[in-house]
Amino acid sequence: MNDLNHLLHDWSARQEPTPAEWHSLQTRIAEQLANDVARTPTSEQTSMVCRTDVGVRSTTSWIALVAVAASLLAAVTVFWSGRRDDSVRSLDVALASLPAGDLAARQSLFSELDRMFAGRWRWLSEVNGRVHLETNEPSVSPAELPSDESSGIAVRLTIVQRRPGEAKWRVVWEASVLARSEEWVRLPVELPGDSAVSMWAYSLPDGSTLVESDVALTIPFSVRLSEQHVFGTSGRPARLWSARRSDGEFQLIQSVARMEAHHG
Amino acid sequence: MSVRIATIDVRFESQAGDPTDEQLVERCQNGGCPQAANELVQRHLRRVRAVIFPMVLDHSVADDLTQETFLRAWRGLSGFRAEARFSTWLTRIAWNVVQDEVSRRERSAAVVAESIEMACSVTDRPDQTALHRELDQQITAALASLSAKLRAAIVLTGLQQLSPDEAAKLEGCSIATMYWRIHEARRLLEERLARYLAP
Repeated sequence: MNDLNHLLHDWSARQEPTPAEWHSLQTRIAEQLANDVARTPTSEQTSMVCRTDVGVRSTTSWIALVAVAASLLAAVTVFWSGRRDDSVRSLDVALASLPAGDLAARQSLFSELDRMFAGRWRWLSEVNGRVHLETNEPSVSPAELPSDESSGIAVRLTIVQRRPGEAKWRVVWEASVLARSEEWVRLPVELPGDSAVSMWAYSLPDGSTLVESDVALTIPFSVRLSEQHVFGTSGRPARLWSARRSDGEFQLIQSVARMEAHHG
Repeated sequence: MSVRIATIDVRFESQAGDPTDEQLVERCQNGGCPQAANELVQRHLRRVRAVIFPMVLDHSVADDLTQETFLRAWRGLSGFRAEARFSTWLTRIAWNVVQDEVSRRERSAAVVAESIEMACSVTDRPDQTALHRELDQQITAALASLSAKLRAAIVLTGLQQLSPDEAAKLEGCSIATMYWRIHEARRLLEERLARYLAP
């Protein structure tokens, strides 16, 4: 067990209730269970109730059934009307996606990075125009490096805004990443405030890509989320988050494309 | 109908000669026996709360969710089949209860500030030394600063000692994803708690 585990275990032990608090909690649960038993008729009681109050029970059952059906219908209606839509429909898709021409350039850059750094590069990011290349330490032995045949991903994370009364969306923040598959990417720390963005991608056998993102941004709005999304091969972006404020609507969009390893 | 509850004895482990969990479950399934249910509560109370507390970081909420877990388990006991151990089944219920709470909180925009603010006062208990109080506040704040998924990864594998495989099943993600989450959670915690960790 290392130090962090020790620290957490000791902390956890100190968070335990006192014996009196345990006793109180246990009593509370026992009483709750007893009340639950008391509310649930035993089979003997049920049969007795059925013999004596059959008419009333029958009526109340129908009322209950109708009520349940109505609630279900309402719930389904609310679910469909308020269902979160991960696909981006209400804005210009091209604004947030990875354009085909751009993709070819990224693929070319991916192959060049592989050639140039022979497996030592981990990811390349661009946040609001600032470029950062992350590489493995020179001390990492070639055997520990990923194969130069490993595939990768291109990710574009975009915040778009539509001001009140305007029809057009515009990009207010964006980050682009080129990374090897299964590489955890942490965008450089010069993000404002306590912001932090990290992501991890994994290529699935069916050609789709699973991307897990942890986003904590303070500018242009405060958002904190942890999302896992599977992207198909269509390249369609996904909306990770949306918000409406007095200065307009905001959406956080993610676009992902798979990069193939260079051959030759 | 009223049910009298036997005297509560705070004792967490079963002893030699005691009925097994599965025998107690069977008694409950056969007759709704509250004594058997209480015995199960006694045995598993600490484990259930230990799963819940590090996720919600609030003693009062943890107590409520612990109670909710046992209530759900009690109501679902007729569906329990001894294919899994009772403790595993109960842990899954606790995890579902805690995930419901986490989802509810995540829907609220104010939750981040609220949880971090809460994290700074939650461990302020009179029986703690000043040193522990500061350390506990830092650890609680560090855990609160993690996203729910990363916190879940460290709680399940670091505190509950589940394997990444078991944790991945509970979280409904791939093992590779779980490894990433564990790695990332540990990195962030080590960074935030660096002054308390040996170099």
